[in-house]
Amino acid sequence: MYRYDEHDRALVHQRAAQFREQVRRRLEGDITEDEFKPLRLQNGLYMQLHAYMLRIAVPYGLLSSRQMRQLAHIARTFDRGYGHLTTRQNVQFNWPKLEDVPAILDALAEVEMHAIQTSGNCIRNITSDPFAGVARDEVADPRPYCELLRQWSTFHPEFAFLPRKFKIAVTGAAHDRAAIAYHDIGLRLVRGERGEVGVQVLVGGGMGRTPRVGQVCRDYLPQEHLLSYCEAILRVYNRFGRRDNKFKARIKILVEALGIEQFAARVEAEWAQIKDTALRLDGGELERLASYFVPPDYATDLPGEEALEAPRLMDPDFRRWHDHNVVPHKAPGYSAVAVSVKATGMPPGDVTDAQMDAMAYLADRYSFGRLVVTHRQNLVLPDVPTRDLHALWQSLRELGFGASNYEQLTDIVACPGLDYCNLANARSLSVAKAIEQRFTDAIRLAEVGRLTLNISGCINACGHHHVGHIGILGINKRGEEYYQLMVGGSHEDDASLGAAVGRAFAHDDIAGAVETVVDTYLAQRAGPDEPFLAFIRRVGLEPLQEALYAGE
Amino acid sequence: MKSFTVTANRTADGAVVYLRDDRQWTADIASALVRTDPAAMTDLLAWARAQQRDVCDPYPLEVQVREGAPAPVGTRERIRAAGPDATLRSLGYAS
Repeated sequence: MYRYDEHDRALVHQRAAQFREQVRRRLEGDITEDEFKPLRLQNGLYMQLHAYMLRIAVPYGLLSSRQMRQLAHIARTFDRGYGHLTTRQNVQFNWPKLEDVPAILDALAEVEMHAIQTSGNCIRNITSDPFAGVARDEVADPRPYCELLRQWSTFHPEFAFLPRKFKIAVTGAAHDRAAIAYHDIGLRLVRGERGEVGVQVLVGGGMGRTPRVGQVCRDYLPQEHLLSYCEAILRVYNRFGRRDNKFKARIKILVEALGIEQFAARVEAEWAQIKDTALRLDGGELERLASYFVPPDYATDLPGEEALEAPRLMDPDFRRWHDHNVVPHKAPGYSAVAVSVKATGMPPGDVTDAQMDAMAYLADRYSFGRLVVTHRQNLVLPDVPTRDLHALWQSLRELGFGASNYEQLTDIVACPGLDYCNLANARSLSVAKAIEQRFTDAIRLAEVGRLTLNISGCINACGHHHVGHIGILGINKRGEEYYQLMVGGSHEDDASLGAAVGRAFAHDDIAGAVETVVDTYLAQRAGPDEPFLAFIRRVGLEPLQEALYAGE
Repeated sequence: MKSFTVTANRTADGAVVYLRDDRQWTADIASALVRTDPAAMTDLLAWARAQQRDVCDPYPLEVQVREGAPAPVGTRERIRAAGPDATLRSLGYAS
């Protein structure tokens, strides 16, 4: 993975020292909250319902075991013993005291981490495929491109005050696992006519209150122009994006207002001015960054799946986990493991300090010391010898992470909701828990099959409810919590927005409504081979409406 | 007339606090002051907003007075008033 050079190191340490001074002045009353707010937000420090929240950047979700141990240390020493994996592959702490935040930033800087650009109207954390570098369907490893974009966008002086926040995702695989169609810029690495790597550029996707699927801005971009073309997009957005209305300030609104052809034409015109400047990548920069992501020293004599014959035969729980949570790896004898941190009785994405330490240990023992935070709020161990999967699973089970529910109904994505968030209309986490409690049987979950469920506590859609196969949106009716039920969303190559089924449900009724939807699917699907999403696309909303609102 | 108190988040740790009659901040909404007179509220808010070293973003909060004590209205303010321990317990964290 990328290692800081002396400039990176100096920069994060300097930033931590600056913030220490700003916090001191705030605590001594020298500056007001209004003066302090932009300073703290530039360091990822939000004010939530009950406490501050610190959002820490995890570039493209990649963590070393050393970084994970440091996060455990922070959770234990400065927070309440846990942290939260976010839908931007970041980590949040929910309870830091203001006076402790400078020490937390120092601790992060020690392990090449920070909280810069995790808030504000700037380019946020670059996200990617959680199986980057190991997926079998990969055209090219997206991480060098992510790192390039991270370095370009960090403290980019021209893009520090965009009309609104800006999110970029990169996939290097044939199958999109990075939700690129729902980003301000979505980048897909592809092969050109002569086998060289190029980039398909999507623009104008996003969720929030105006969900839009991104459109192709340029079908093929030679990779040496990646930065200049992105810079051109940002310049067009920075100049023409609306600043009069926060809710109409995202690039998707501009793309829609101009139309994709007109928007792309403006980008091309801007790009023509800058494409052959210093932004052009023909000086070996991508190769230099790629050298940080060379594959680890894989053993070449490891057994494959045959090593799992006995444990699969003798341990049905392991077999189910192996079937659902293990992803084929490009290196023979290795597997990529999706570790579900869900259905533990804790909120989706929450991981305790002890679990973090244990995951760091397991990463060292089984996966070359690397972990990945996923945008579905789980962890991936990317490089596990296949023969060790049974032993690894037994250790995971002891941690409470042995569930075989990866991308199943109880692998719920949820925003923090009204339990933590100042913006929320309704709780998300209690709804996740109620749904979890109705679906505890792993065999029944396996029968339901692949079914993603996303919960947002308000229209800002941090829980990505628009793209869940089932989506739940919390709304406020006269001060009370209600929940809109949606179905049919997808964040993959077949990207689609979910549609509302009908009238909203009260807090105590929404989990039952989800169960009704699932039961209707099981009763009416064409067969076990028809996944939930295909079923919804075939039958529409009517069978669900009949089941949910019968007799009204 | 509607009944109001003043609430804010404490600068040190972000905790929810309410203003008492003795001009101290408390985590307990039941001991918060209650005003029904807009002029009195205007003065109190001005005072509260001057306490920017101790608290962040004070705002007037409508309350219901039950058996002489103010109580929160609506889910959001009920969750704020119940405090972090209630949140943590409901989320499955023993605290």
